[in-house]
Amino acid sequence: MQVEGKDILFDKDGFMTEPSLWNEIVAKSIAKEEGIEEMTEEHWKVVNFIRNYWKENNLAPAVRLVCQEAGIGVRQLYKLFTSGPARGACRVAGLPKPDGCV
Amino acid sequence: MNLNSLNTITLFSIFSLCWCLIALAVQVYLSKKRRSGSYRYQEYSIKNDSAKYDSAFKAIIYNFTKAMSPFYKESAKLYPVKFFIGLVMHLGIFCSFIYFFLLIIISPSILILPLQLLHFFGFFFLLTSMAAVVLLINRVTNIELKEISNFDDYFSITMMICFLASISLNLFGVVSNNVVLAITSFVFLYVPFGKLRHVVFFFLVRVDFAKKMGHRGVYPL
Amino acid sequence: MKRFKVDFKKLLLAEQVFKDILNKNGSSHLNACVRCGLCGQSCHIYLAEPVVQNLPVSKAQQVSALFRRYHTLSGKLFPLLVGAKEFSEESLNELAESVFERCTGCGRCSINCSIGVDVASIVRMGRNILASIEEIPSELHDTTQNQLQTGNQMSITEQELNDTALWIADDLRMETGVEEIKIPVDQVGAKILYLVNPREVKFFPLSLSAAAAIFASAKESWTIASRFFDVTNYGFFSGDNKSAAIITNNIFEEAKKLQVQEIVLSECGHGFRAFRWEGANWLERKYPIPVRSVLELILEYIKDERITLDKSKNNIKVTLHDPCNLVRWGGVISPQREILAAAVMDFVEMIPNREQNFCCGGGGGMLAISECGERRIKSGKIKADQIRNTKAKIVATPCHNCADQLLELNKKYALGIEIQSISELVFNALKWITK
Repeated sequence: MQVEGKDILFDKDGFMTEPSLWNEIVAKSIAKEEGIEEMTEEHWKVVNFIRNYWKENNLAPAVRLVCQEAGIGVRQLYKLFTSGPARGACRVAGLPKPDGCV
Repeated sequence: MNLNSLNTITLFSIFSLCWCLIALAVQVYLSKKRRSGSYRYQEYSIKNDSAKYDSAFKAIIYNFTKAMSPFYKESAKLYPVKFFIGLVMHLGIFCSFIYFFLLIIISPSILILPLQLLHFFGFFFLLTSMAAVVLLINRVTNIELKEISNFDDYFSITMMICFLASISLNLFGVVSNNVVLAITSFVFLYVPFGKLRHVVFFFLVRVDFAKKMGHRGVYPL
Repeated sequence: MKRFKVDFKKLLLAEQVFKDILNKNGSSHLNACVRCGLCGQSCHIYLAEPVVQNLPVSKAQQVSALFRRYHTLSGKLFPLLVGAKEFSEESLNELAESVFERCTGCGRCSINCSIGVDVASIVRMGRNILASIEEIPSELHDTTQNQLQTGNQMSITEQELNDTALWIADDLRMETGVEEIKIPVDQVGAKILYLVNPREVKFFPLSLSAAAAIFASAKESWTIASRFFDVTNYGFFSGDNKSAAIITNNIFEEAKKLQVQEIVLSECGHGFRAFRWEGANWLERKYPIPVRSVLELILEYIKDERITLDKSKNNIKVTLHDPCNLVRWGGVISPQREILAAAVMDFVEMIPNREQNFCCGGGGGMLAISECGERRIKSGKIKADQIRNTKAKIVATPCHNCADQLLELNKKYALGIEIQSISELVFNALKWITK
């Protein structure tokens, strides 16, 4: 997709090939693909936490941390991101695809 | 055995049959699992609910009967015409081995049978030979089959056509027994080299797969 | 998969490894294919993309052509006439593409083959060869390394596991009001060691929490492990039998340490098959304790009336997706059906089902390989159509890999369904838990 004149590339799973190019506008575009028309405050809490965690630890955070940080339950998280925290929220947060059965 | 009919061709055909059996036996032996010690195939996992059948015998019977039924097996169910044609050809091949043994053992007593019967069987073998021709045409015209086929595939089916046709012509009295025996010898010589060795491996793989599935409680269904 | 270079040493190694694999598995299946080409209609990948490379016979040919060249007389003398191939950079790259990117190892071709050739196992042999020369997709390789080094495929630490277990139990106690619920971790002397998919810990705890409720309801003595708790086996997906054996052995060491009497496997397709059936072949010894699927255990609870279910709580139409490795290769065919009969009001089967079911499209490690994303979704169309035809709103599936693939199919094909594991449906229907 094109964001602010730059070409953003995705792998065949839909995850960013260059996570460093992520910004809020990219996030909103990916979110639209996920079926999220408008990013609410809860969406942003989740996405920002995931992004910061990944920047520090080079790993996607466990759902427990995401839920505790954003103050929401697991079912609510799955309502916000229907593809789940891995293929949904991590994708919107511009992370590379998490390893394994996701 | 009628000693008068033991000419060179007959002897050669018996020899090539022996060659075929020995070569196939060697191949079967080489294809067996080889493991060190007393380890036997999949004997080592615990039997519990997941293996409520765990009967190799029942699974093997299943794999040769219901699992091959054209109402179940998709390679038959979804291709009814090809299945039927293949069935006709294989029936012909099966009968041709019986015919071979008749030629060796009781010929020329075959001539004692009434002519109509001989001609009837002649038409039968002609039909099976035509089925084989259809299969060859299919292999030559179908783009995908052409890509996966090699010389051995074409040669094998051509051999089958000649083989079945020769028996048919022999029953019509057009060619002599010697011609049939010659072609049969050639088939026997060739079987261990190409895909025709599935005549034996068909049974091996079905038994092997059935044992595996039976142990896991998947077969019989 | 990126094209890889192969030097002379690797070719020799591949030849040697191939010989060992043939000795161990036997080569009768490699001799039996007659190239009739009737396997295509049974393969979901071929049905979605009808090219010759997707035919199961083509995938098997990659391996059997090599077999003919080195282990048959006609292949040695006249390779071109019998379609025999040599080990080379070209043939190994083609093999890699075939077995990792065009096949999920679902086995539908094996049970429908006109001769009875076990095509899926031949494809597995191909994976074994490539794994031995270390040319497997990087995602599978990395995940296997994770699993060997940290004990689980997602590198979850022991601390994280303990914290998550406490958090899930807390949430569950709040939700149900039942104080006895807990998730024991590393409890020595428990009866059952419950192995979970790390997905349940890191991304989707609802199925673990459902299992915890079911165990509490049945008053079961159980525990999970903090280090080797992983039911999955990425060595199995990679075709790397050595790693697969180590992973399996680690679990048994853990079971010995915890002195449990039985190992119960969470809902996982390949994990069940690898642990219950293949593991004994890798380790070449008898298992010391029984191993079974949680589905069989839950059915036992229902039959023994250790839990009671109120099926009216699940009144939305449910259909069942049969994971290939659990059903076709694992033999767990009826427990999940009997459970659903007791737990939901309206259950409808997909067609075809049971051992003839279609692969979800994401099996065999394909879900983890990003390059296969497109093909995976395309070949999943058949599954999507099956689901649509049942008109069900919930798809129950006892496999987390399948669940993720189905979630994506739901998105891409706009199916409008919810995916739930069997444990969750049972949990919804549990009678003594008040919500």
